Amino acid sequence: MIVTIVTVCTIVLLLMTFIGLYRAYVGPTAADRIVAINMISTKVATMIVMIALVTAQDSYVSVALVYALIGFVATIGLAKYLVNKKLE
Amino acid sequence: MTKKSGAILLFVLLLGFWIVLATRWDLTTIIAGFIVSAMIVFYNYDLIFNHQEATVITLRYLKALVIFVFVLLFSIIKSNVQVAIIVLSKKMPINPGFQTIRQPLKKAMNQAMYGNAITLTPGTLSIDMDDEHILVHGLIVDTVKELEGSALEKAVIAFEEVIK
Amino acid sequence: MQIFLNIMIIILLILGLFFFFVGAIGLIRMPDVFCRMHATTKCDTMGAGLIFMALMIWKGFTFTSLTIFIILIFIWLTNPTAAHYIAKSAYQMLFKNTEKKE
Repeated sequence: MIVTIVTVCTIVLLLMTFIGLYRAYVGPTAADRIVAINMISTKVATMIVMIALVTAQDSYVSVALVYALIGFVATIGLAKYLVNKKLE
Repeated sequence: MTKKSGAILLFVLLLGFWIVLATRWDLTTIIAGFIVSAMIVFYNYDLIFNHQEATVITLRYLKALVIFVFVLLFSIIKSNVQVAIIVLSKKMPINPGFQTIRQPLKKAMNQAMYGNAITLTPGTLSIDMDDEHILVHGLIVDTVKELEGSALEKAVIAFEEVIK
Repeated sequence: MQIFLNIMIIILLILGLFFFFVGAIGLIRMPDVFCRMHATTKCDTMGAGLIFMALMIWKGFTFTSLTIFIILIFIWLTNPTAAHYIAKSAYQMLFKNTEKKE
């Protein structure tokens, strides 16, 4: 029963991710897009954990850790690039 | 904290992280993790901790940390409810603006913790920080001044005083 | 006992989804970058925390739960930091643009 509920929650979360994608597409400034991408990366990390547990592949949980790490570094790098126009 | 005890702490943390990620608890895993953690600590020994930033972990420090975490959790829940009320109401009652408040801390680690905590408290978002002031963006700009003298600031100052 | 745990998992999952939803709606409705950041940072932190807590209760005390706990701590530490950095660069961009116009 829990498996079904977690699956449904994953699908709802997936639909919410598209709202963030809309903001990343429309967003008037570059900072808006970075905020939207940051939100999407958090949601995707959550979704990876849920999918890993639903499909009973527990070792895939580590993938979410790596994904959260990459999302953080990408956000910092983009924000830095926004100000300096170079990555140093 | 001397450099040696910092290295031992880092070694224990790395070994624990290795065992959690390996999801197994047998001799081969532990020996491999031991070797890898020891090599990481050995080759990064020069950049582990410097003496100015290092803190001694005592019982009082842990007590202050626990109080700080509880105050922080409470304010996270409050701020989420507040954001939910603002976002879901028809005409959003916001009055955004910038405000500078004082900054009571000395150590860089505590400053970073306080900045993160301000971001998670209701209606505030830390933007920039120097040694005396923090620039804060507020959803309702008049409430930002209430941070000075709030429970969170008291918890952080207690935290700083314990460390000495 | 099992039924009690299941009900708790479902409540935590629904609360987490609700806070994620509030964050997404705030991202659309708020008027400028800083206000949008208020909504996303707080609600994402809380929503991820609640959903991970539900999954940890579901899995019980295993290595999987510990890994999820590490991800949870990582997200709770990095999300405000990333928001702080984006806000700083957005503020500097704002400052630059007004300077140019004058």
